[in-house]
Amino acid sequence: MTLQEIEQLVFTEIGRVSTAKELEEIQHTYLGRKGHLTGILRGLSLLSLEEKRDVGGKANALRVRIETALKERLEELKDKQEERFFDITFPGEKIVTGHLNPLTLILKEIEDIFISFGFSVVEGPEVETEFNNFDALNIPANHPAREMWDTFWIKSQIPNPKSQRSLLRTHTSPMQIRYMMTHEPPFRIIVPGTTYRYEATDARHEMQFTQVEGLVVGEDVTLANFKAVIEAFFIRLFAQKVEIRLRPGYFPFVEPGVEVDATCPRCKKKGCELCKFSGWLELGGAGMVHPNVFDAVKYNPTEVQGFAFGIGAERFAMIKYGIPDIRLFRAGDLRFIRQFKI
Amino acid sequence: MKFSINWLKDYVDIALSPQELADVVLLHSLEIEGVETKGDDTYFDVALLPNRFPDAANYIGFAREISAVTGGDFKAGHIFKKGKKLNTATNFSVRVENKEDCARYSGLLMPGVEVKDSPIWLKERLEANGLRAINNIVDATNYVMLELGQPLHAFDYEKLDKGIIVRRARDKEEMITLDGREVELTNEDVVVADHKQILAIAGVKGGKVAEITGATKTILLEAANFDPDRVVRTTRRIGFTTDASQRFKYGIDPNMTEIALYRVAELIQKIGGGGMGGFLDAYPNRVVPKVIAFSVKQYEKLVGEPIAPREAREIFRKLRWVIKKATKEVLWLEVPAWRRDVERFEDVVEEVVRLYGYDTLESKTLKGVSLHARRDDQLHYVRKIKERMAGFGFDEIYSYSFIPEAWQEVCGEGTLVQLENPISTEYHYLRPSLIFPLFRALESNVKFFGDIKMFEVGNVFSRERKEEGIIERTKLAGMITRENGGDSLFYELKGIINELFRVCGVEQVEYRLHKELWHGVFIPSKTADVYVNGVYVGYVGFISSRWLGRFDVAHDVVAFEFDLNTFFPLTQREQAFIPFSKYPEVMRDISFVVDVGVRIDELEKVVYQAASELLIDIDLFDMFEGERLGAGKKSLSFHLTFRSDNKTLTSEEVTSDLTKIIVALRDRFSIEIR
Repeated sequence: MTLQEIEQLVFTEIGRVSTAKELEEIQHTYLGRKGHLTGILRGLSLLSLEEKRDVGGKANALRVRIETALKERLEELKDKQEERFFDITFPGEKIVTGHLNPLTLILKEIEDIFISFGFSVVEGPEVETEFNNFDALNIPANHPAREMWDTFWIKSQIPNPKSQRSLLRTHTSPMQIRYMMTHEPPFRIIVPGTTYRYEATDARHEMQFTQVEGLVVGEDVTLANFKAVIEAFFIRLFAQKVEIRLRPGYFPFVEPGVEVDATCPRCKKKGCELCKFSGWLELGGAGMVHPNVFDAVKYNPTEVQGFAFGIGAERFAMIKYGIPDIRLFRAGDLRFIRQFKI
Repeated sequence: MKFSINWLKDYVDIALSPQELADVVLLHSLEIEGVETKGDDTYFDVALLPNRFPDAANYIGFAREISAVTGGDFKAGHIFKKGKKLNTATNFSVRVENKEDCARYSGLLMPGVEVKDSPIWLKERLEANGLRAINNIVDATNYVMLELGQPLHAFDYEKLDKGIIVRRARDKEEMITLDGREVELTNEDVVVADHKQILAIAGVKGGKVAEITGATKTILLEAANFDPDRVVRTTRRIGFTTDASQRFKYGIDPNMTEIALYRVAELIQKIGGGGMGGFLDAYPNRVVPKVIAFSVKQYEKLVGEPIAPREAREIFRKLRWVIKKATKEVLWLEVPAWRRDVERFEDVVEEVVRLYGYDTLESKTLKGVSLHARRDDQLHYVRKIKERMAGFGFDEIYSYSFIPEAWQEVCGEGTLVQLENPISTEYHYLRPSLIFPLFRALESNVKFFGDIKMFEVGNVFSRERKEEGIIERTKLAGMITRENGGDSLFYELKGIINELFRVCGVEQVEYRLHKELWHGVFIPSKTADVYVNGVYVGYVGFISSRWLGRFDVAHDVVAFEFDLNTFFPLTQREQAFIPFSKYPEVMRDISFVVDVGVRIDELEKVVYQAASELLIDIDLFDMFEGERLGAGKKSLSFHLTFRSDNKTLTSEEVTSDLTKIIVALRDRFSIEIR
């Protein structure tokens, strides 16, 4: 074949092929060891110097053009192959991950907010002494205030124990005592934990639930500081502007004592089922630490002051996630738990 | 307590609508739990906690509070002003044996009364407040109790013998109450008696003997101040409470006996005639009003906002407290005896701040950064573990800390923590392990799901035999089940545990033969005790079908439990980069047949012993049994990975190690290379 013949044929052939295999064959036919163009290049040695230069130059140029055409055609074929039918709506492979209980989720949110305010997070035992749970918190035996906490008592092994009776803590407040007995102010802590009340359960009451206690003590910690902290906390937790309302409340371990209300984040104060059409939600109790509590932990009440508060974790989860019944948290029902994914 | 607005208006001017009033009271005074309109009247349901019960759980006290928070005129002040005193009755005496039992006992004689029905208005007010009308005398005492909070009692004077003695009952002394209950008393109970017999259980209930009847002509009215503790203990012992005992429980101002007696006598004269015959009073220790110094500086220090002395004075005027002395910064206040809850400066601060209004208090950011704030390490770790478990496909449950009484057989009663007052036999003991509540969750979930992976982190409770101390530990436990799960469930869970441990920086994990912990719950031969760095941390294994049968679970279940208090110190919380080898790994596979009874860890131990330090990993990737291999045999295939940190390994070096491994395995386990 002459160079002209090759040139006429090869590019048409390349344009006609539809598989990589055919391309390989074309390459073999023209550029292979015994290929047509290879033959011409081999035959160059027989020619005169001038012809060598002329034919050799043309042949080499043609070789480069063929190689380029082959490569391009191969890419084209690959592209075409990738374009074949593919169903992007075919279901993906199922990856199974588990779910954290909404109680864990809400506690994480609460803890993280207080950590960002410079609070330490500490824990205490669920079985407590009568002293830590009541006496040291200014709730002496026989005081009618004790009736505010229905208590699970632990059965003693000894018939008439001289030591303190044990109980399941009715609030996280005994950790105030434990912490102050072993630490010096100033400090800021929160104490998340399980608490117990001896009472019949219904959609809003549980015999076992979760509290988060807060305690801030220093030389000049004020009630106005508490208002700022709790306001900032609610705004962060509900991720919206809420108003705070403090009103008189009674907890023997604080004085003054306050109830903490916030504007209903669901209806924004307009009134709805959640807030019983009052526009406000009761979200916790708080106050300035009672001097008798400081006395009990051997702090000097004339030198230190501070605030304490208690909030219910389930209540926040119920508001935030729209959970209608407090008993769902501990029912172990996966139909419930598997809904919480974020 | 329920309050009628119309009735309250007898004692205080109210210009606000009921809803407006409720809002003001809620913000400055007491919690209003309900507002209900009936006919032309509106009723408030007011929550009265122990601090405000003594002064505000009565109409006049609540009206005084309304006056303080609204500025409305208080119209009942004259009731508290002592009029001229009556002569002391001469032929009748009152004596209190223990002054601790009764701070004050006052009586008033009224001859010539006519016992009859009360007028309609009185009946209506009592009934609206949940009290039954009986006769004009009894109704008047109840009415004044509602007005002033002081319980009153009326005796038929003709039936009394010589005088009143407030004393302890004799053991097993009996009496019959007005409502016909026979009560046996003890020496711990205080009674009101005459010289012959018991007339009433002090502060709780009157008796039949001196009951007012239609024939009664002269009455003795009683207003006393009994010891709260004694009253409470007696009501607990005899098993019932009354309106009166509830009021004594919270304590009453001793001044009230006299005030209430004159008030009720006046009322009786209006509705039943009679005269005031004589006053009797046993009042050994007069209460002295407390004087508390209120400093505006100290107030500002505690509250975080100043109060002008002028404003403070105005608040105390509204509260009807007397300022005994004043300087520029300090007011010395005489706290009225009706405010038994006000004992110290901080209590006065509360009065000022609540009346001034918490809403006007401006928020102020906490000063200073807290550089030593830190999160409890274990708490932080628990959170990470939970997130990992969810990543492994586990759902997190929370359960109750209580287990049924019936489960003590498997737990061993001796170490269980028992409740004094369990709520039911279903919630009888504190859980000694998280495993048990997980079964309850399993039972309810198998109805809906075949494939379950769940876990819990929580505290468990036990005690050493005979010892007082209760041991509380934090555990992590979990369970997996699946239809046709079989043996692979165990290995799946084991893989998860190993990975969990790895990401906690735990290197050395060992599975050893199980020592039975809960009787009959696990299959001992299919359960392993887990050790980390040689320390026991928990167990993992198959649940016995006998135990699963209790919960209607038909599929295999594998469960585990670890003690996080033990595990946590064994974990690593710091990590560092280790330079990787520049030289390639060489992998060789080895397949052989061996007796079924040979355990993988035995084989691995021999392999590591035989090889040089170039062997860095062994990985079992295939195992099967079959007729082809012969009975009692299994085929195993391992990947062996070799690597050096300082050179590229030659084929000869690896082959030399491999040969040593094969020889050792042949010697020890008679393996046949496939």
